[in-house]
Amino acid sequence: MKELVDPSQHVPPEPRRLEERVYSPRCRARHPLSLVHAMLADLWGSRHLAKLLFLRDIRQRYRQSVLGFFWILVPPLVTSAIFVFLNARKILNIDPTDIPYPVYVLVGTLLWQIFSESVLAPLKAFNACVPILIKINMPREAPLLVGILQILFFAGIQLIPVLGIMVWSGFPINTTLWIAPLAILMLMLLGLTIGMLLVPFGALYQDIHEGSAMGLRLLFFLTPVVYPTPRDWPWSLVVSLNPVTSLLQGARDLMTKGVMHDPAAFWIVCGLVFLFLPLALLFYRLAVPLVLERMGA
Amino acid sequence: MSNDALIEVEAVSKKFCRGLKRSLWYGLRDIGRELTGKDRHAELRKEEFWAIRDLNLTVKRGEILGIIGSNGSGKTTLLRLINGLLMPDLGQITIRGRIGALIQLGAGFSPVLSGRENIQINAAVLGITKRELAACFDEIVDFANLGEFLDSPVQNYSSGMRARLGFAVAIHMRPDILLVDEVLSVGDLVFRNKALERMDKLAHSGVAVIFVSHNLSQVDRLCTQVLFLHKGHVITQGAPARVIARYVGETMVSDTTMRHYPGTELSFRVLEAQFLDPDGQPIHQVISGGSLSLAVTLDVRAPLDTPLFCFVWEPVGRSAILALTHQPRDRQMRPSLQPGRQRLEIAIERLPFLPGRYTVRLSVAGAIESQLLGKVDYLATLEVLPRSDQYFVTNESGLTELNAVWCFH
Repeated sequence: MKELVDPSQHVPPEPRRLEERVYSPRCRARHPLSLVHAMLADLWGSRHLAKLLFLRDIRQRYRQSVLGFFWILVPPLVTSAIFVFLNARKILNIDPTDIPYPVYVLVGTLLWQIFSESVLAPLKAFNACVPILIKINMPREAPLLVGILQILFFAGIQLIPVLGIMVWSGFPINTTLWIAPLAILMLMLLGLTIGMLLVPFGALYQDIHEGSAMGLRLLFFLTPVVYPTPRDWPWSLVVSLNPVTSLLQGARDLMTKGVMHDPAAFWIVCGLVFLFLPLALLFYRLAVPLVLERMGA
Repeated sequence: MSNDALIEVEAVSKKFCRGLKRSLWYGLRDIGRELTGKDRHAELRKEEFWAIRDLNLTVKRGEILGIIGSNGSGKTTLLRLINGLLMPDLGQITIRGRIGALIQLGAGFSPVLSGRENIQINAAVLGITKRELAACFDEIVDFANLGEFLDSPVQNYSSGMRARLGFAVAIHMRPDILLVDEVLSVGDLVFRNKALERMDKLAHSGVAVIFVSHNLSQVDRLCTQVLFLHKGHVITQGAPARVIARYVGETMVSDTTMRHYPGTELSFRVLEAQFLDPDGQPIHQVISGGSLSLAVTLDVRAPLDTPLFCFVWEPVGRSAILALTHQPRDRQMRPSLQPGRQRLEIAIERLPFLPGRYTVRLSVAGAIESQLLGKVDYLATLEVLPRSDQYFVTNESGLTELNAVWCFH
């Protein structure tokens, strides 16, 4: 029989330096530097864990599914098909777009899907981790990373048929297509920033979950996803004040036309994202432990 | 050397809120306070109460601190504070080294994935790095004793196997501090003993252990000191035998409510049941092999024709080991009971039970033995303490002892 190896016997009777932690009621926001440092360390430290949790979710989901990836591929295609149909039959009165409408709506729907997933992913991933988070002291940033991996995974898969259809339909492929992922990334970061701000509230109150789904449906119609940017006032103002518009339009322009229609608006929103993303991360870091305390064991 | 103290809890208090709606609202306000740079709210707000109040404790390297107390006394809250899952509302906790928490074994286990895949995930959740896991993967599999099940989905495992796997992963993270909360209640006896042995070994190698359990004999066997918590306050702290005795004395309540069987009339009830020492003094504990008696006071309302009493002894949490039935069995020689107060006393010369906690059930049958009249589920509880000459080669000590003469020829 194999001898059991006792790990405790390998450990020399110490004196190695032990990491010291102090838990106290003092407010952590008063030491922003150590807060940022700890947050970055946790983000970096939880990448392996996040990868495993992400793979677990994927395997879990597809081990009991026959059609598998079909369910990721289909929704944006169906949504696009509906709008193409409605537009072709003149049921909807959509202004003419500067590129063929099917490509316009297909790319738009894909980008919208990425944005809306990014808004919902942090809360969804957080809620999935709550049972572990309230029992085990693991980096609270791990669910965020899991959410990001999920978005990237789904976006990557959904991008394939869209590109396939573009090539197949003989649509000219621009060289700017290769830098489009950066614009898509910005769109994703905008969604994540909003999503992270929602987590603490959404974890406490179910209403946030319902409300954000409804808010996204409303925002869908305030964003030129299936229709071109309106020119008539005041509708044009509402749509252009919507930060999703600039990023979504910018990404779509890069994917299809090669020239950005409104680069200034695009860069302004990018700047705002770079400003608010770290703030949202800090907010998450400060608020989530307090929320978990309320969730009990 | 003060650095030997791996856990230092200084004047810590923690409050909770009773109502859910209000608790969520306070949560929201706490977020507001945190963001505006204010410390935690130190006074009680409406519907709040102290779950832990002004608690101090120190656990040094190699010590095993047992925490006992009835449900709701704050044991789990204290562990969660030490584990950093809750922040104190007052006071301060200093932790030195890596914490391993056996609080929820197998956290993150996914039922459809195999044991192998789950080991990786569980290890990562517990903060074991990829390299550390690679070094101890085989040890974990050995300890968990999964055999061919390693590559089957965890949903096919028994709960004991799952616990074993969870324990094996957690114990191999080489913690400096180990927090154990009632996790050993699942799993079979062999695993439980193996786990206790392993905790003991870890403590000897310099790990500080906190062990929360309702199993007093385990606490007694394992811990170097014990803390008795009641409603968030420390009642007493010190040597295991003394603290456990105090706890047993203060909290052991038996429920002498008689439940009668359908179709029978309850013509009597139990007023009191006590264990007495040879001098007639009430006791809650006895040394294994000692003598004692069990006294039951009955209030008989209508004449009882030759009732038959049966006392069933159960080690806490296990099935019965002994049924002490009425002697003599012969109906003609059994007394009938007249209305009024009656006292039944059973003298036991030499209690053959090994150390542990035992409860006694009572069943009463009528004149015809098969006709059950009533029963009491928790008549009395007794703690059997070890005798100095008792020793066991393995951890499996059994439940009773036998007088035997040993000789080699």
